[in-house]
Amino acid sequence: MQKNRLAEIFKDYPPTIQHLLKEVLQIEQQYITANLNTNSGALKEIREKVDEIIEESCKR
Amino acid sequence: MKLERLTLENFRQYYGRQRIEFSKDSKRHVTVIHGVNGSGKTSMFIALNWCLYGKDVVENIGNLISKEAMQQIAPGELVQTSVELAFSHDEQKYIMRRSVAAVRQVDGTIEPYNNEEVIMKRIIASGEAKDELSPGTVINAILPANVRTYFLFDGEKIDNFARPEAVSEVKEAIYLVLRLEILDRARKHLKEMERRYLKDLVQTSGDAELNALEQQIKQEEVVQKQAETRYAEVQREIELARQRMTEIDQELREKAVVSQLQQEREQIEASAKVASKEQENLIEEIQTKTTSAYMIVASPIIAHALAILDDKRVKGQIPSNVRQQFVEDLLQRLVCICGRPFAEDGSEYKSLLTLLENSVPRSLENEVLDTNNQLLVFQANGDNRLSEIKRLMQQRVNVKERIQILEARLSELELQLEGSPLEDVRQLEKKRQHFQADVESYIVECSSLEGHIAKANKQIEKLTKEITQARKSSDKAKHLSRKLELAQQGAKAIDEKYQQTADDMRLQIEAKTNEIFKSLVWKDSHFQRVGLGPDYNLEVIDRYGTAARPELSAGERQVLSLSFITAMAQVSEEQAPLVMDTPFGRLSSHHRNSITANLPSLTSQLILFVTDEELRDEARQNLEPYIGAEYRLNFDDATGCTAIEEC
Amino acid sequence: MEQNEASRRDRVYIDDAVMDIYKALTDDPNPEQSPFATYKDIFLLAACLGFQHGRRKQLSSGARTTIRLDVFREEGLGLLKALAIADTGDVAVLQKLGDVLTIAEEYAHAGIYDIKAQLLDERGRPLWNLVGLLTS
Repeated sequence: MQKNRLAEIFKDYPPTIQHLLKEVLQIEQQYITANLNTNSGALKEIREKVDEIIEESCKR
Repeated sequence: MKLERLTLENFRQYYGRQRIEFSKDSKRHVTVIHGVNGSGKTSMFIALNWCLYGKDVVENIGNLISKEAMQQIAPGELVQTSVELAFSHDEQKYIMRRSVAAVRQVDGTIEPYNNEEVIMKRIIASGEAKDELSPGTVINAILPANVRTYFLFDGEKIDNFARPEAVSEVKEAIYLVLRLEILDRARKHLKEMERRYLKDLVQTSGDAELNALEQQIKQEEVVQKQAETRYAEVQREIELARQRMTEIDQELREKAVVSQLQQEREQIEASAKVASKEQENLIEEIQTKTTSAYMIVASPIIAHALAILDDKRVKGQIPSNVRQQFVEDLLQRLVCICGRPFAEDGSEYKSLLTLLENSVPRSLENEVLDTNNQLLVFQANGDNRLSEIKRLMQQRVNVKERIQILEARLSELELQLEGSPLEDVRQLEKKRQHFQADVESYIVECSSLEGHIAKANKQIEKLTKEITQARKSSDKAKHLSRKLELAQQGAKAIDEKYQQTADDMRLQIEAKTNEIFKSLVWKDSHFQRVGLGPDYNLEVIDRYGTAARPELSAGERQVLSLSFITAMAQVSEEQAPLVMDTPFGRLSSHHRNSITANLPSLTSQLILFVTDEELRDEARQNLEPYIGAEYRLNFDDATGCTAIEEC
Repeated sequence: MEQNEASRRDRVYIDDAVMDIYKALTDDPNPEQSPFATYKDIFLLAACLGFQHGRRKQLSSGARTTIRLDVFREEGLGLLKALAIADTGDVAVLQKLGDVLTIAEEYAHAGIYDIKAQLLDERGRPLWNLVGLLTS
């Protein structure tokens, strides 16, 4: 399933949630493909990114 | 993704540069590469993997450098090993090249020269090649490393999915290829954020604390207001009382009998006031003197220090008025203090030198002289101070005595007035004394109120600071709350949809696998359908509804696996070629035949590494209409090298 | 005066553990309660008393309050030096400002307790207790 298809799963949800999930899914895709092993460095980065996304979503 | 061209250079048994062009034709999209076992099929398969993903990803890669190439160079020279892949994806053309070099040692061994390097270029419309700075990212967007084994397919693993123990493999395959992993990780991370926000929230004070503080400050303000109001009241009362007293004084003065007494009283009260003021001033003055009490106490210490300084001077250790500089000058000019010249090696010279050597360093010398002076001044001041204090104390005693006398007289006068034969005098006096008492207690109350007001002020200041902090916290808390909510909602949405999505995909794959499996196996098999249940068991159901797997032949199991894989490739909609390394080796010929009949239609580009055994007769005929390119790998026993031959 | 890097100092230290005594003797608006105008005055008196009773106390490793040297002026500084000379019996100490200050600090840290005992812990107002101390 293509990545943009994944986001479509949530089309019934409020726009803020949709946006949040779309962004997070995109990040996860990037990190899965960029990091073959889950090391703690990547985990920390993901957390920071997700935090950023949520932060930004709050402003909407 | 469509593979176009693979070029190997000094890669394992491929000596020199050798190239393969894959068939890209839409109908004839199959490329067949023949070779007997050991001729280099697997090496080429590895080359493809290595180029795309590098040694960190590809397992068991071993030594990649061509031994023949190593032989051909002199010690100290370099061998370049590389694999270049040209491919297209989404209408874009790419060229990717991974390389590594090694140096031949004198003893014939190979030392790596550098770490592997990879470059990628994208060819744009004009024919220009643009650098892709992150080849890994590009490849992982097209065909992620964690799903590559389902497309770049090792024939040995063909029946991996149809074994009874393969449940976890099936599950993992679906999870990875269909990107459920992404959903799952997103959910996991959102939940982590949720936990983190909650933890922070607990530590941050919210509205509750802010309210409590605001209550407190209101209270303090009330207390303060009350005290201030009362203070003003009391002041007024004092004034009133004093006024009354003045009125009474006036009346008493006008009464001939007591007029004189009253006047005397008024005088004494005035004097007492003056004396009281004097007393206050004295105390202040005394304090200004006592603050430098150290001057007095230091006296013996100063004396002691001066004695030591003197002592040092007497012993000649500190020239009292002769400075180092002076002595140095004398020595230089070879002239004595008295003016008489002396010789450089004479006794006079020697004594002056000794004097100089024994004298203390210039800096200390100055220090000592300065300190000495300071201390002498100090001593003089100290003595003065003590006598001043004594004088002031005596004055204080005097003033106290005076006040005592005045107060005594005042009492007498009061008694006389109290005991006056005249009724109204007695009354007036009594009233006056009442007022006096009132004033005195009011004054005490004022002092106490002042204390309360000061304390309330301090509290208010402190609370104001705390409120400012709490407001900041409260805002922070609100913000955190919002973030928490968002993270929660996101995770919940995924929770809700995940299972459904997983089920959807599972069912899609089940249907597709079923379709493919049916087209691949012998038509009149007694199997009804393929099942992929919620337990992720991939099995074949017979017409009685029971799982038939134990009765599947090895070949049928392999076909089931293959069906599953190709079904996944289709459902995932990854635009990737199927590259298979000897996939038919263990199939029976009739399975081989039916697979080869159907395989080409399952993918947009098919690349097969096969032994001659695998592809014969009917199998060959089935593929024939689709074959667009064909190669043979010729292995030379003598050189240990493979040459690619186009057929 | 030589000030090598290690002992270079421009201030004296008072251990925070005794700061409440210093404050008690300067805070109150009533002069009978606060005989001293500044901490420096207390410090110097404490140092003298400490020396007089032959008691020295090292400062703890905790927090400290500082008094800059320029607050002492010429005469204060002179007293600090005198203490150092009297303590060591020699003038060489004048070359090490750090040592001079440490000596004063440690005498002061002992003497402050004498001040507390005689001014605050005795009956009567601190001012009069102090006068009594000085005139005895």
